Amino acid sequence: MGSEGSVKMEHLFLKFKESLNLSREISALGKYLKNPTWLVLPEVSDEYEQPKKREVSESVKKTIDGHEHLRKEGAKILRVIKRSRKSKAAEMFQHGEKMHGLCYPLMAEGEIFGYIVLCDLKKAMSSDVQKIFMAFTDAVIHEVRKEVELEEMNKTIRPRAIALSTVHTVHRLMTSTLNLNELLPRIARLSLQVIRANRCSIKLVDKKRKMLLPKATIDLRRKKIRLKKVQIGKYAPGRAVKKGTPIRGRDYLAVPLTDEDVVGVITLYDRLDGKEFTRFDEEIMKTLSEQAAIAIRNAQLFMEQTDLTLSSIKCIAQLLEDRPYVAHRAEASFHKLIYIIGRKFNMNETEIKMLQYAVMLHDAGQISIPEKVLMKRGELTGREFDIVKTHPMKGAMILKKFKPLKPIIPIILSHHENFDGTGYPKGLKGKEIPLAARILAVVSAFEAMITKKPYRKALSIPAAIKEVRKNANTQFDLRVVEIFCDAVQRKDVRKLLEKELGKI
Amino acid sequence: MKRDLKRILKDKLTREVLTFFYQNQSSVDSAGGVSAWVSDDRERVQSALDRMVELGVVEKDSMGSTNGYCYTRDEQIMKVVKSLMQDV
Repeated sequence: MGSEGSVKMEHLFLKFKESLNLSREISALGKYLKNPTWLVLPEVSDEYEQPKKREVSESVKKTIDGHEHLRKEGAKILRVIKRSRKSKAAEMFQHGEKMHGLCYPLMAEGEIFGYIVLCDLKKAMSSDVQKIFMAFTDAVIHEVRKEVELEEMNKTIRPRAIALSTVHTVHRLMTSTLNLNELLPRIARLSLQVIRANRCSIKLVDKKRKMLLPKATIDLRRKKIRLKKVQIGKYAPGRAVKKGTPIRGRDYLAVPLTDEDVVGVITLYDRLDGKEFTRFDEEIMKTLSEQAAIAIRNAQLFMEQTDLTLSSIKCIAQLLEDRPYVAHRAEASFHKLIYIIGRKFNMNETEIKMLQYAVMLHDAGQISIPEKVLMKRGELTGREFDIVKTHPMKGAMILKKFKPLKPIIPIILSHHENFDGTGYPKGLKGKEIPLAARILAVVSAFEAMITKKPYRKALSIPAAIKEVRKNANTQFDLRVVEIFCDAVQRKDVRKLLEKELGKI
Repeated sequence: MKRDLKRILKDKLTREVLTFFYQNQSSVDSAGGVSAWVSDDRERVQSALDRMVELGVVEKDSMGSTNGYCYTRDEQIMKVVKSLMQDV
């Protein structure tokens, strides 16, 4: 038996000796057999194979030490163990003055791991009683084996289950964001955690230039980091990308980020314990990098999608601006203004972005209104005003065909509703009007006032602010007006706005 | 730091959670996951984790509804935990 096997058998013996079921057997059968002496001995092959007949093995000596009257019986006990060991069966023997005994080998998987030696039996054990004793003992062995197997399984499975759970949690954390700027440092942090290294660097492939561009680096030792571009094929990260396989050295481990194609590389440096990177680290990082590559690809696709959406919106906005009656917009300053106001109202990034889109497209519906109505100098007739009032609805109809803009439809629909209920198209009042539409109402009115129209001059910024304030609580929500006025009077916003208006 | 850590380690569950992370330093898991490894109630494990995050002995990575907890990478804190674990 190999050393691993003998360790397993020693463990089994100890478990058997300490087992509660054995105590129960000793107690139950002990009464029936009139309290014999139970000796439970381990299998120690070297000791039991001693050539000198009269010598007693250490294990036997130790076991009978507590039984004064058996001290002289050591040699006999050893002999019966030897017999039992050879026959792998129960063996009877006699000892002392007309006393009987029985030795039964404890076996698992055909191997002996110990013996029960019963001494001081007043008479030889009948074959029926022997059967009961053996059945009892075998049942105890069976239970103990099951217990040990379960323990072994737990020892092997638990670390794997913990590792699997880690991979699962890491996957969830990686796929919870589509923002590449947030994702890459997160992947670096998680890689450092899982591998317990000091430094992690993520580089992404720039196909045009055949280079790897540094995107995220974390160094726990807070070393000054120089973000270096690396040529594909050079150094460990470059070689890992070129070969498409991990490159492992004593102090580094570079693993390519492979989706359908290699999108980049994660490189870890210097394990926290100072040891070298192992094959196990490599395997873990391979799994992690596969997940990371998918998350990166998803984020890149999302960015492409967002860019495409923004380009389409800009395209529509440009078409609107090219019509003669629409003034050019100060885009950057209004984006900034909306961002500041949105944050004040605790809007999230997506809500703010949608509001910015709404500002760009709020008059999309005017495209279907005759130019002569829009450009008319002087007051509109009732019929003409009815036509103008259809533009929020028409704008919503045009924009709803473009799915990414679905969230802005209610904003466009309600941006001409007045806070006091006198607006159109539905005559909504107060908080019945969506917050974003209440903000857009103020911003679009201000925008209209400061831009020159063919039929009137542009108002100055202070005059437009005054006009907005004048209409608080009637046309506009007072709270929105207050926040808007604070924002528009901020130095940075004002400067940007004046600069953009000057260019228009 | 050591005193604060000693104080929170008087709680049996907190000690078990820290032992889990000490023995599985590469692990990143949710409160639900950790509660399975220490065989205890999720909410109680969550409070133990919160206490340890506050002391910096466990780090928290959050995104939306997903929270991942992992063992600290701070060398000083790791030294303190190591000495405490040897005393346990």
